[in-house]
Amino acid sequence: MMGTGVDGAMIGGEAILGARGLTKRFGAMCAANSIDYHLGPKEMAGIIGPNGAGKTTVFNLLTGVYAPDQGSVFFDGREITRLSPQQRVKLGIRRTFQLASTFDNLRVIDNLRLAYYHKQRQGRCSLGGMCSADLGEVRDESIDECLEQLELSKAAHLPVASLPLGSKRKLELAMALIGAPRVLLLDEPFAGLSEMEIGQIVAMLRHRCTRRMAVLIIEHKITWLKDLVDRISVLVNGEIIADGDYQTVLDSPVTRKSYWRVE
Amino acid sequence: MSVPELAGTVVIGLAMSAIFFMLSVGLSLSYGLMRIVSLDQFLYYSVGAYMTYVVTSQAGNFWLGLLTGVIASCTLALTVEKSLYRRIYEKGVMFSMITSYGVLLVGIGAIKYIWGLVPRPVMTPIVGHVSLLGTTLPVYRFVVIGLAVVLYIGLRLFLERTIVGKAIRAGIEDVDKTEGLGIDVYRIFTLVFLLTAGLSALAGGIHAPLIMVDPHMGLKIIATAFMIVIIGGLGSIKGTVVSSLLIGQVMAFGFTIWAPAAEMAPFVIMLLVFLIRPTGLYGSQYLRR
Repeated sequence: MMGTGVDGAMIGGEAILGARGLTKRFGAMCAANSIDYHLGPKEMAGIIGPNGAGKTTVFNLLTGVYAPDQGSVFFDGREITRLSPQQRVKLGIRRTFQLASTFDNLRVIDNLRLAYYHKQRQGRCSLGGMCSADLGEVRDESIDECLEQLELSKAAHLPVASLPLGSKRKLELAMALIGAPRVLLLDEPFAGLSEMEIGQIVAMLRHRCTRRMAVLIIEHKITWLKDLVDRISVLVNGEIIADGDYQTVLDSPVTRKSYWRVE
Repeated sequence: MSVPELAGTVVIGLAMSAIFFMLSVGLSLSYGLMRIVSLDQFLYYSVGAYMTYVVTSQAGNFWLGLLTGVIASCTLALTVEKSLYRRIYEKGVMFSMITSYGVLLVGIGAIKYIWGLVPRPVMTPIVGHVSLLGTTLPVYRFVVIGLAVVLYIGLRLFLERTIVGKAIRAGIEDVDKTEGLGIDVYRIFTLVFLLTAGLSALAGGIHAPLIMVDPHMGLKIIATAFMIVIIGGLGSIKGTVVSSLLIGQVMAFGFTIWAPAAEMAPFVIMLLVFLIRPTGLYGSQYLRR
């Protein structure tokens, strides 16, 4: 019951990522209505909600794609409401997108290298650094390791365009993980995948993320989150209407009423 | 058409292609990456030519002039990019077209003020000739062709082997996703803009001995340069190479056979290409928005 404040990690400023009174309107539609949300430093949490509930908007507000109309975003005890998306990535907030955001015309290995790019540029920005043919040895090792875990070693030098969607998703996840983020935001990571592929992604998340970083997953289907997350929140019409562990949320009358429309 | 005449025409065409390539490839890249139509590149082309003229006539060194032109143009381009483009990158193609056209006109005015309206000749740095298939051709044309080949190879290596080159290609595919990786795309924009300006200046300086340097030289070449960009397909280097080669030959043969055709033929080619492939020869499937 991490969301209820029973767990020490969730109380007050100890959350790694937090939102306070976050509001975003698009014309007359209120995509996020005064949302308060906190994510613990090693917590794995999910947000579910019907289509158009504002799930992706919440991500866009947290990652800095949108500026909120009202409210603020906090990271590690510091306000980051006005930071740009890149600045947030540099702090360690990474996200994936509904449509796999890999680069089709680059090779698999180059996608991973680019995901490392901002790390390489930190501290030094010489012409030599910009034109260096490859990254340092240590980094390429972790890229190789990543490729192995993905079972993509053989495809390393193929263009991403030739990969099936499942592999693209895995690659995208790897691109997000290779920067060793502190918070990982996943936007419908299972959409369009087969059960087998979903199983692989779930395994990868368990193996690479559990108790290592904070993970927030947006999903349409609650079933995939059942065994994965510590806590689930339900977002309907831009508001969080329920929050708690899987069973609590599932049994909650508000959820049943507004999400499944059952009495 | 006799063999010597044919050989001469092909070489002249290749030299034209070389200059077209240097001028167009940057335009194509900057549209692909930044979604701008940068008409001020034709000012950097002129500045490159005028600096080459000044240094060649004063100091007697063409290559030094070329270098001066590139440095002067890049400095100017950096100022324009930091002060103007920064504000309009997000605003769509029309903004960049109009703004950069303004920069071009102001620059042409300045050139007229400084050097006057009279066209100026630039000495060819290499005066030798070579015999080829029964005709003699100036060595300089071969040097121009060779330089373009070297630039092409260098550019390909830069884009394919370096991490910044890969970031540029990623940006051409999708700027937002590239930004999502934590990459500061504006730094890359500046880099590509300067690269384009440098290439434009180089094209101007190299072109100077083959034509006369005059204040309107930039305006005269705009249509051809953009035609090459769109025939090749926006954002494609390979496409720019192929369409430069195509238009160079079409214009060279036009001049040899019937001069008025040289001006018109490229447009006919463009229309034909568009009938078959509306996105240009190598128009990228990734270029949307």
